[in-house]
Amino acid sequence: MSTNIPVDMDLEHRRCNVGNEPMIFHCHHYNTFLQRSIEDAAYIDSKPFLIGAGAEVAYSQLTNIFNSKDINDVDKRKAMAQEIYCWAGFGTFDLSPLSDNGGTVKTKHSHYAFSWRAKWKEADHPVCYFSSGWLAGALAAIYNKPNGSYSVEHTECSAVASNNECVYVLTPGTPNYKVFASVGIGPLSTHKVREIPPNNVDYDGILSAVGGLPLVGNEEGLIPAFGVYLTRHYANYYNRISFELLHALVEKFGDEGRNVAEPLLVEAGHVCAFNTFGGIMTSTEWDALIRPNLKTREDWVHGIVAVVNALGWGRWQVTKVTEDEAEFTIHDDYEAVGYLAMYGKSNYPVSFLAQGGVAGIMNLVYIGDIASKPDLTPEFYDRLFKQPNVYKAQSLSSKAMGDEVTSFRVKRA
Amino acid sequence: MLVKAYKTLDCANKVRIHYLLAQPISRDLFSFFPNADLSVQEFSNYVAGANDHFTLTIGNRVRATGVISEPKLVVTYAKSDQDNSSEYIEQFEACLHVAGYDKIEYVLTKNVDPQVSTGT
Repeated sequence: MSTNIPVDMDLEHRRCNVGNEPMIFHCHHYNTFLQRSIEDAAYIDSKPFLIGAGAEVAYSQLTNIFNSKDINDVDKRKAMAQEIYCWAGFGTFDLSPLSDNGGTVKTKHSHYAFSWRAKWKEADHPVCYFSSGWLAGALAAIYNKPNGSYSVEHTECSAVASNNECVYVLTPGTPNYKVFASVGIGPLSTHKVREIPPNNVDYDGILSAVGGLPLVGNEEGLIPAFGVYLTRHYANYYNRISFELLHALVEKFGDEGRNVAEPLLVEAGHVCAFNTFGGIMTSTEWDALIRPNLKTREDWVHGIVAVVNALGWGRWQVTKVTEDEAEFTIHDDYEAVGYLAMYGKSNYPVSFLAQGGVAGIMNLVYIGDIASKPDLTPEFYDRLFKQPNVYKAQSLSSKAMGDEVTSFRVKRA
Repeated sequence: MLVKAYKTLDCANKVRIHYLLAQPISRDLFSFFPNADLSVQEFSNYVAGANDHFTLTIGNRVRATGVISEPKLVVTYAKSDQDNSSEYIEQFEACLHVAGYDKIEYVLTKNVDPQVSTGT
């Protein structure tokens, strides 16, 4: 079903772009955990940027695709938008009821609603902020209007007990969300690849193999793989909502606000590592492709880093790894690239997902013995991340601060 | 032939059953699932020493994955609290039966994976 979607694989930078928007794999655990962390942050009205970031990426991507592929017919534009949304694993939409005067869209298949129920049972409020914004941005792009031309209300959500479908009402006029202009791909560098320790992992072969997996939405617009539900999400969406939270807290509470935001965002990285990396390392795909060549626990670290290079997150390298400590270098990590493009140089490191991710790899391999295929339960998560002597990552350099690369040292506390 | 099976739930509360077959899976097995869509990922073409992987899907209600030349089959069925997953389990296991796996023994521990007991 991906035949019409203009997927641009930039292997040199370990990225995947669609309509000039960098797209990256993340799982439902991360998507819902990150959103809930942002929503739960006290005193911050996050709804305007959670929706606005969805509008931002949809508007940018679809406008670019409509222009580059010369798609001018409204029905064909709607078909392309629906196809991308489903392909990326966000669920399904039928956009036919919409006109330039707005309208109502209903769906039984929503990644966020499905995931919310899977992870936390029922929600007490509609949770599909991303989809709401995505619809508003898409409709503006379809009808050649500026982003922010429609307001959107998510009146029913299938994550809520009394609802069995998601309903969105779009109305022309003042947007009820924050309007952002997408930065697109952002500033990329020429990668000076670091030397890595000898290992038994075929990095290039794994990149090609994983890159060729048919990870696209099924009839329900879901991507079940590696024991989780994946999305090909927008890097600029994650960046926008994470950094808007950070800035809102800093604006309100100064340095104390940063001290609140950072642990929340790093923990989202731990959740991602635990579920996505853990799911990958206990999957049948791993057993077929990677496990046959693994001889040491250090090979397991190299193996998952090789897979990460296929997720669109930039070029990941592990330049040193023993049970005592490891060092990871990331070229053009999506968080730093996005921050530089959106807000300029930072005074402090902002690659929170990566920081949580590299610590998570070490905790899974050396403390969790992921090779024994443990169940990825909440209790197991607590054992790997909530104990005092687990691995933690310390920033060594940050591209967002002007360094050439983003890098971390990971040691047990 | 005997199959050991361990039943659990995936993270979306869908029924997942790990089957350990009495012999390694070969491509011949797939012909016993006539209603399934088969996708084979030929990893051996990309990485020396790697094995090929397969995915069998029957609509959106059954998704089976495994490694060709290994005996484990991981099958995720329809959502347990909304759909009639037992019907799909029966249908899938009937195909295994026709393929010669005529006895399925459910066990209470997950350790049906031969790689776990042999480590790395």
